[in-house]
Amino acid sequence: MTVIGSSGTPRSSAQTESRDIALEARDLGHAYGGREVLAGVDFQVRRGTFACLVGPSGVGKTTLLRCLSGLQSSTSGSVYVGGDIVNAPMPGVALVFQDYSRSLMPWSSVLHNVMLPLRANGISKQIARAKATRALALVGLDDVAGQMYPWQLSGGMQQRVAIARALAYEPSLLLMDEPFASVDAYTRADLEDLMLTLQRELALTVVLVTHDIDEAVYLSDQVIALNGRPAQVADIVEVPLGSARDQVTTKSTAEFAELRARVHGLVRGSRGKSS
Amino acid sequence: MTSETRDRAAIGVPDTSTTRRDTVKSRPTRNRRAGRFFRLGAQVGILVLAILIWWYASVTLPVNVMPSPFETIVTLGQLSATPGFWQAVGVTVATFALGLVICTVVGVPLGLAIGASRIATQSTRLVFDFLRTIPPIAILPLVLLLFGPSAQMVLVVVILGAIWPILVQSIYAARQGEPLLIDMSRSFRIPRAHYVFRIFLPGTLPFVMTGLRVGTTICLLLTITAELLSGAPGVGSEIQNAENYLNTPAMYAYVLVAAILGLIVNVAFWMLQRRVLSWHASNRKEA
Repeated sequence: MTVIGSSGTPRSSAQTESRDIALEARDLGHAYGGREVLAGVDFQVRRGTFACLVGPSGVGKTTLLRCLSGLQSSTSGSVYVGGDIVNAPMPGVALVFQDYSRSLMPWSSVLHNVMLPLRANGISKQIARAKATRALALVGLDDVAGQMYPWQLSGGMQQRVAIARALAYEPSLLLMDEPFASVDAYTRADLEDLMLTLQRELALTVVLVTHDIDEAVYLSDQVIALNGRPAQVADIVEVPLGSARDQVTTKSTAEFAELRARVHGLVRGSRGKSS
Repeated sequence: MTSETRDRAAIGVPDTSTTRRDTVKSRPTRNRRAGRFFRLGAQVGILVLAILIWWYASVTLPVNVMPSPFETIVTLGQLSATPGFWQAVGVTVATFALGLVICTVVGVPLGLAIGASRIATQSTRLVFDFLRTIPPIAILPLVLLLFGPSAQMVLVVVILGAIWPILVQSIYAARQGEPLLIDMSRSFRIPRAHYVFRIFLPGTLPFVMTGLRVGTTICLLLTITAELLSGAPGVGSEIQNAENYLNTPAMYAYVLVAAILGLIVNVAFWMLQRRVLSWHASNRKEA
């Protein structure tokens, strides 16, 4: 459907390119009963890049992410992860939710929360513990924090635990649903920078859903702007801001302001035009 | 309602922890200790007051309606030297404990299984709501006819009365499964058995414990009530016997025994709950 500026790969060659494409949505549509929320959503996310799905609240971002993760099957079109069609949650795909306090188990220590998906998938206790400890270290949590319960930590720290749980799973694709929407502005900036660092250092493929345009531009290599009802891809904006980004300097560049304005225009409905 | 206050409400604990937590953090230790002394003093004070009221009632009421606290304690001391006393206490405790175990072993798994299915929950609701409103004492004559005045008969009454809060609360517990944890489990491809035992069941525990606490109290009350009304051996029938022989001090001594049993059961349950639900919002201690 109306996809302007998508990477333009002919669909027939998608299979041959699947090595470079971590995630692809093809003509994805979803309807609840008769109410269409997504229609003809098309995009690709290159391996090792950071992509943000941005759109106004209620546009169907969460539905889209649920379809991408395989938690929900779409009513039309399809999703591919690493070239494989998604019918159910795929191995190697990890999900971080907005509500950290409900997605972590209050009766388990931080370490055991991070270990659980590994242990449940048949990884030995010793290896799971080592992987969990390493993942916690990556997000800046030490052994002392690992012995605590999630509710003994601040909101930002809890979300770090949720990120560590996803990292320990060693995902080829990391999906994040508004992960920083429930923390304060400073914590949010810290977590954004943490995600940028982790994504670069671990060469992760991250797809993050947000309603915050600044956040989307700041984090992304590519911003996938959604708008309309049912939601469609308004445009895909490449963000050539380089890999070294900083909350103050990057956000005060003219380039950032221009990208921000462009995405803003797209999300508000003036398609493809840069304002 | 935040999830924390909801959890708190679930196990019937007043929402005071935030303020308590704050004061613990901000106040120096000396004030905290002073506060503890004050609380202890208040508790002892109320106890002394209650005993004084008891004593006042015993001297103002007609003779043989109420013995004085002292007289009751002395009678209790004398009774506790007799084998009959311990036999009665033993039977009551055994019936209560067996009843509670049966209610738990049947009620919790059955409730969780029913609660795990929406259809099962909806289709059983009417029947359970009907059965639970029948006063257990109302069926006493029938059970008495079937089993005679025995511990077995008391046990039946106890089970029929106390299983409902445990069953209904367990159904409710299973219905409260956190949807985000289901999504989390699915997205990490956590096998079903692992989900059930490591994620689902621990999450039901706060609600199950509420049912068990209510059920425990009902078990004890019904044990003693059924004994008292039917004459089946136990603390209940000792109360009745003492009353029949106009031995008021002995009657009050056995009432006191019933109260002490209730107190022990409550404290034991409270300790168990603190242990099992140390992670729960109602018991949390900041690190």
